[in-house]
Amino acid sequence: MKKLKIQDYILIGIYTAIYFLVVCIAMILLQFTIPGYSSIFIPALTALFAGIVYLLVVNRIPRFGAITIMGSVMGIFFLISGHFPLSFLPNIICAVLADLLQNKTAISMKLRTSVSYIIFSFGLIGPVLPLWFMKNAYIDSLVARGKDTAYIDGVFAHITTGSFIASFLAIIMFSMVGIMIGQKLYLKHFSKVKGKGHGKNAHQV
Amino acid sequence: MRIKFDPRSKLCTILFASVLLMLHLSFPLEIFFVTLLFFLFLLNGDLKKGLIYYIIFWLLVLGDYFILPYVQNTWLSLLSFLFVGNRRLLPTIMAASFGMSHTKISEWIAALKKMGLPFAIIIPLTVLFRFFPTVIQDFKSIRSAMKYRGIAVTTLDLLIHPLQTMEYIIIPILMSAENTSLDLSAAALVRGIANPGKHTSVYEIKLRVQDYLLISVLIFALIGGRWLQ
Repeated sequence: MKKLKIQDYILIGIYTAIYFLVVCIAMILLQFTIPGYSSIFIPALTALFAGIVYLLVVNRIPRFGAITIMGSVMGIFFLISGHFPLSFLPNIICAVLADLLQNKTAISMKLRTSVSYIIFSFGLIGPVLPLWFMKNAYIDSLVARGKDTAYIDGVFAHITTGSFIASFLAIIMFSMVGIMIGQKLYLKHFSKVKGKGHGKNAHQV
Repeated sequence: MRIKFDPRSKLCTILFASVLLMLHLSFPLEIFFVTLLFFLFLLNGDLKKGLIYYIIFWLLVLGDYFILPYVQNTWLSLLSFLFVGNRRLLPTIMAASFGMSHTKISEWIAALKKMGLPFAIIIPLTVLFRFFPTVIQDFKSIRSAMKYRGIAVTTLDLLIHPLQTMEYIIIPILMSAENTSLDLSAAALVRGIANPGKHTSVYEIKLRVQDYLLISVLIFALIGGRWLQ
């Protein structure tokens, strides 16, 4: 196994920054379009747009470790900048899984990349998780003030489970579409560019 | 006057706030924790910022209090859910804001190094911190170039054609990423990033009295709060 070099680490950092820019854009787009607790769709929308970034990471640094590092760095960055403290663990776990699938298995390249991208996209699930705790907190606060919670519990059970399922399905669908868009963009813009990890397998993505 | 906290104790505060989000808290305890964070802002010399957060907290409490009698209405209960939910989210936002202010990126990196984070994570993280402002700058330049060529002149156009937006903004940045990485690697190697020995930092990272105090207050508050409940 070839080891990662300093330049690879720096390249990963740059791609992570671009990925994070995509997250920010998705966040802003959502805030303008969906009012209320819009962050449950951040992972899905990011997945729709970030396919090309992921493809470039996979192609430029085709070694085990790149995706793991990307996910971990995202997790730590989120943790420190406090956007979504809970996104720390999901980011790392999903990144390791995606990395294992991408670089340690021998399924066909295209399928492998698509599935590992879907897994990687679940790393951003952090913003969705607080919803669960928010619901608990809400029911707590109602109980504390002697309200009848049966009705509320029923309503919110539907709303929260519903939005979890909606969010999960959206992630899967959008990341499939996202990786397809990414492949198109890759062929359009990057297949002729010479660079590291390029050459004979550039067209196989 | 302001007291300087170590990045590690700030990280502790952020983690503490995240744990708070996951626990069942009684209302008085919640007030106590938010007030605690407010005092941290005071000590840190951010009176204004702290006051804004504190006022937002009380506004959320007040809004919830007024809506509560009509909670049987689905839409109003959704609104009150947002009030309570965002109120619970507030401590994490406050903690992060407290953590980021008055601590330089280099201090954070030095602290993370001291915490024994592997080299493989430190380098990309440093790049991320350093490179992200550049990305924002690139983003702005690309936006003005797009406007100049008559593509998506208003922000509304950006929203209407999200895929076009993405292609036109992300692809140029990705194209230049390769070159940027070469430049950065050269600069970093010249500064001795490949040195296998121990790296030093200008910033002295040391836990002082106030850090020990802060961490122990946080731990005691957490345990004491749980026990009282």
